[in-house]
Order: sequence, then structure tokens, then C-alpha cells
Amino acid sequence: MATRELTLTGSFTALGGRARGTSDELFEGIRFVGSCVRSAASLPRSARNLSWRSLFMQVRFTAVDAMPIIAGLALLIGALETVGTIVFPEFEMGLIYLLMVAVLVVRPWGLFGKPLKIKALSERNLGMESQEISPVHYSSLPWLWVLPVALLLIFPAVAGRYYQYLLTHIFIAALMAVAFNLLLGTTGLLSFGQAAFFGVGAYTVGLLLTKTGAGTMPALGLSILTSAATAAVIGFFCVRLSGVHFAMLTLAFGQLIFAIAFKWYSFTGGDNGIQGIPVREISLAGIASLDIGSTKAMYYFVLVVVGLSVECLRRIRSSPFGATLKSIRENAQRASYLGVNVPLYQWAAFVVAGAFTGLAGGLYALMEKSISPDIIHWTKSAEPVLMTIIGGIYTFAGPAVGAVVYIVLNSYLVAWTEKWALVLGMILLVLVLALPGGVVGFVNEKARRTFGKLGWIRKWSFSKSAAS
Amino acid sequence: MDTQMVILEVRGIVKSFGGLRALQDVSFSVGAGEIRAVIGPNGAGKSTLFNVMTGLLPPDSGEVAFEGKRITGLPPHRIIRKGIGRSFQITNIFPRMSVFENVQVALFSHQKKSRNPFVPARKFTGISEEALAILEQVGLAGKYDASASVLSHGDQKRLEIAISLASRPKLLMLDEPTAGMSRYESRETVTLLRKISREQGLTLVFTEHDMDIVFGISEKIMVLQQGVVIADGTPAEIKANPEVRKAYLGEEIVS
Repeated sequence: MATRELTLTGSFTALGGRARGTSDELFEGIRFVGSCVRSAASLPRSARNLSWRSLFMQVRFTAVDAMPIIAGLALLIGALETVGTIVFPEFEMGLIYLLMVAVLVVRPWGLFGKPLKIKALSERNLGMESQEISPVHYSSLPWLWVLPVALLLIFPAVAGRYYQYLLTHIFIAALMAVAFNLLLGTTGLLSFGQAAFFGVGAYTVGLLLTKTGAGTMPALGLSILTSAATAAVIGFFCVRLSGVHFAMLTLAFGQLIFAIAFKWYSFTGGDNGIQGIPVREISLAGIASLDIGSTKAMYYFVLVVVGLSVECLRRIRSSPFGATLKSIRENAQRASYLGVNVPLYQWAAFVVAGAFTGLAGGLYALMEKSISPDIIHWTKSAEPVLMTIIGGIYTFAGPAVGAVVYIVLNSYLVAWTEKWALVLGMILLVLVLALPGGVVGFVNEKARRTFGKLGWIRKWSFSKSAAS
Repeated sequence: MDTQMVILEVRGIVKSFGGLRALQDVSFSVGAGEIRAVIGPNGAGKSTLFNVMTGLLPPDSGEVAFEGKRITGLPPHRIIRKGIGRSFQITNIFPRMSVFENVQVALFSHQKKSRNPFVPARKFTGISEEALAILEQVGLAGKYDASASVLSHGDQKRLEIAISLASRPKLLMLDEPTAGMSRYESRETVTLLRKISREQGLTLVFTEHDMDIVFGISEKIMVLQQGVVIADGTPAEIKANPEVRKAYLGEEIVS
């Protein structure tokens, strides 16, 4: 067991991640993702697949004793690709991910690795990162939401079309990130395949609107269903694993879906994607109709849909179901000793997150009016991870704030410098290192220190949250 | 004792880890409402026995019956639903949740509310009151809004007992409930456990190193040594058992 952990963390170090053998698997996973993103960001786009493949080999297969196995695997993968190219030219790319899925499902500890023994209870490190939840429940202060919502509503009156477009983009990313955080922050599952559900949602809307005469709302509704169904299938396999293995399996499934969208020209348009998606008027109960073709109308439409969805996710988080997910994050074994069927709840969270991510994808297809397989690529899956970490994992608003920071930075840096990826990476690194609890976590902590002394917030919010 | 209803029946449990035989043909039964200690030196197999009984480890052979129904082979969450609570040797709580939430989430699960994703948790006022009542019972009500991770060790152990009580078990299995506590804290915890057992007719099965506690509250004691039951009886019988004295208790009891 020790060997395996060492080699795993060893490969993280090689990738530029910071290794710490004893820490919790989840945080290992986050660091791992960080290093993936960093290594990907530093490579030119054409080489990403290459880096991905070497990464995949390193992490999946070097578990025990490396060199001969790597050589053997390189052969296996090479053979698979050759056979794939000849027999299924359309699906050559997907085979490698299919192999990865198969390996993770059947032998999650690696083809040649040995199973990790279940950690004994006594080895549990409960004191891990002592990021406590701020005992002040801001969510129970409803007026805190009034000002931002009012500002968003009057925003198009004062800002130009570019900014409306940018903000619409942020709304969609924020929904994806908030939905993702139902998994990471609330349930403690690091999914690295969220782009798959985003893509399924986007392609559902794109295909329905271009190939059929479906209305906008039915298409959007179906995007929720198709992505939820996809998440239900993928989640079924993933929740059996934990920590890094869970992340890797979601990643593999995500790439599998990417490969399908990328290669299946006749249906998805392959790497050309789908252009000129017609956005039809929305009929309101057959009486009036709503045209969301303009940037401004789209802004309001997305704002309303995202607003409702986020409120829905907030309710889920503060419900008994959400509390149960939190208990699974904190201590899955103890949760099962409360009578909780842990994998079932993890699966349910996975499906809910997938459904809302799919809705975000559907909105994206409507907004952009064209989609390409790029939106399903694994580098897209890293975005909600980054946004959430920037904004704060253990906060509800964190991922949304992270989405603002990430997209604003991204769009300004792209306009400002050619080396935007490098600068962005550096800024994000500094942010994550300086604010380990995320932007919102930091603000919460400051607010707690400042206002907590006054006592009134404590008293007020607790009289509502607990005693009542 | 004979007239008492048997709540837990353990028959011929064998469990090996590789070459090590952790449990060898362990059998015993526990009557309803009884306070039963399982003692033995380190490595005697006490924790393994608890893990087998609560479904964490499958036994190689033998079976466990609770209220006459076989529970061997069921996963922990199903066993717990039948009315068996468990606390762990190592503090096993939900650290980054408040003390209140720790008990609240246990109540949600027990009352089958965990699946409700629509109503805010704080709207379940009945459960909130119950959670505060349980915290009152274990003496943690004053700290309900603290993060569980900042509690003292003794308080965390008490919180764990509170979490276990929230499942309204008929049988509570406690693995060294006073481990790491100060003498004062242990005495308080023991008093608490006895009080709860009496008031609610709760059956307690616990392991413990402190012989004062064991002989102070147990009605029956079982002694394990290297996976074998070497004695099973009332405290007086155990004190008088020469084999126990030789193997485990040494001079402590004699004096």
C-alpha cells in the first residue's frame, strides 16, 4: 500500500504537483488536477492529447514497478490503436478511453497494480485541513442577495453588448461550477468529467434545433434529461470508486464522450461541430411569444434560467439530502453507520450535478449558436474545478464568484497578451496559494472575525438555523 | 438472567487475516437491557469482533443474530436500520460540521428524511428539538454551534455517543468509549451511559481497558484472549476465575 501511495504521489511531483503522502485522497486529487491543468496550459494545443496520454500511462499503470510494464503497455496501446484504425476507423480515438474505463471499472488499482487495502479506521486522519465551516450562515440572510440581483437586472441598461455577452457567459459557467460543487464541496467527490455532461446538454439542444423543428424550451428540457441519463450511467460505475480513482474514471468517461462527438461525423458533425443553431421564439402558453435572439434578451433569459437553477441547487444543499451529502464528505463510513446507503446518495448527487451541468450546456448552445467538440474536451472539465477552488470549496457562492474571476481574467488576458495561458496560470496559482479557502471563504472568515465580535449575526442566524 | 430475552446471539465466529487467526469460534449472547463488557489484552480481537458484528468485516464462518434474525452478511447501513448503534474506538464524527448538524444528520437518516432535497433542513423543527434534547442528554447543548473539529477529545467522544443515540438503537456497541479521556471525563461518560441504558432499556456492549469502569458498570463480562473466549460471566465470577486472573487481570483484582 505504501509503495503505491509513494509512486502515485511521485508521479504528481513529476507533474509539478505538490506531493504529501499522508494527506487526504481528495486533496491529493485536487493537487493532481492542478498539476494536470498546469502541464496542459504550458503545452501548445496540438500536443495536449500527447501529454494526456503520457499522463494517463503514468498515473494508471506505474503503480508498482514501472519500466517493463510501461513498455508492455505502450505496446498494448499501440496495438489497440493500430487495430482500431483498421477495424473501426471512426472510433480509433475512443478505444483508448474505453480501455481506461474498462481498467478502472475492473481493476481500479491499475492493470498490474495491487489493490489498496481499505484504510483501517485508526488510520483516518480526521483533523485533515482544518478548514472549518464558518458557523455564520449567510444563506439565512436573504437581503444579502437583493443587491447583486438588482445590479444584474439593470446591468444591460448601462453596459454594452460585449459585456452583456461576457456576463451571459459567466452565468453559464457559474451554473456549471455551482453544480460541480455539489459534488466536490458538498459530497466530497472530485469529478473530472463534467464537460461530458455540458457537452451532452449542448449537443442535445444543437442537434434538436438544427435537425428537427423542436422548440427552444423542449430542447432545453431534453438537454436536462439526456445529461441526467448520461450521468446516471456514468455515475453508476464511478461511485464505486473513491478519491483519485473516482476522478480518473470520470475523466476517462468524459474523454470517451469527447471521442464520440469528435469522430462521429455523420451525427455530431465531428470536429466541425454544429453551426448556425436556430434559436426559435419561445411561445408562452400559446398566447405570446418571446424572442431571445438578441444579446440582451439572451442575457435575461440565461439570467432567469441560471438564477432558478442556482436557487434550486441552494435548496438541495440546505435540505436534509444536502446535509446527508455533507456527512458523506466528512466521514463516509460514519455516514453508513447512520444507515445511509452511501453509494446511492453519491450517485444521486452525481445525477443532479450532471443534469444542471447539461442545462448549462444547453444554454451555451443557445447563446453561442454554434458548438464544437472542444467544449467536451477534458481541459473544459478543469474549468469548474478551478473556478470552485478559486471561489471557495466550502461555500455555496464560491464557485460562482470563481467563475467571475476566471472568465474576466481569461477574457482580459487574451486581449492583452499572447502568453495569456501562462499569466492566467500564474495568477490562479497565486490566488489558490494565498487564499486556500477561496475568495468567498476568505471574505466569510474576515466577516466572521469582524462582525462575529458584535454578536448579532451569530445570534440572528442561529436563532433561525438551529433553534427554530 | 435466564428469564431475560436474548437480543444478540453470536455463534461460532471465525475470522482470520492471512495466517493470523483473529477470532476462533467466538460465541456468546447478550440479554435485552444488559450492560456487557468485552475485555482482553491488546490484539485479543475485540475490535475485529465489533467489526464482524456490525457488518464491516465478513466472518469466515459463524453468524450473528439480532432479535432472532440473522444479520451476518448485511452491509452496515442495513444492520444499523435494524437497531444497532455503534461508536468507534477512534473518534468518528463529522469534523467540519457543527455539533448540532452532526446529530441532526443522524436524525434525518433515522427518520428517513435524508432523501428530501426540497425543504430546508432547519424547517424540520421536530428534528431540531430532538437533536438539542440529545445534545442536552450528553451535556453538549451549550456547544451546539461549534464546529465539531474544535471540540476537546472528551467532547468529541460524547458527540459520537450522541450521534449513535440519534439512531434510537436498541443495542449500542461502544468500542472503548472512554479512550483518551481524563479520569473525570471517563467517570462522567460512564455515568451517562448507565443512565441512558436504564432510562431507555438500551443494551450496551462495550470494550474497555479501565478495569474500574468495567467492574463498576457491567452486568456481565466476556474475556477474550488471542481470539478465544476464555471466560464469560458476572463480574464476581470473572474476578474469581483463575484462568482470567492468570492470563489477564494479574494481581490487580486480587488486591
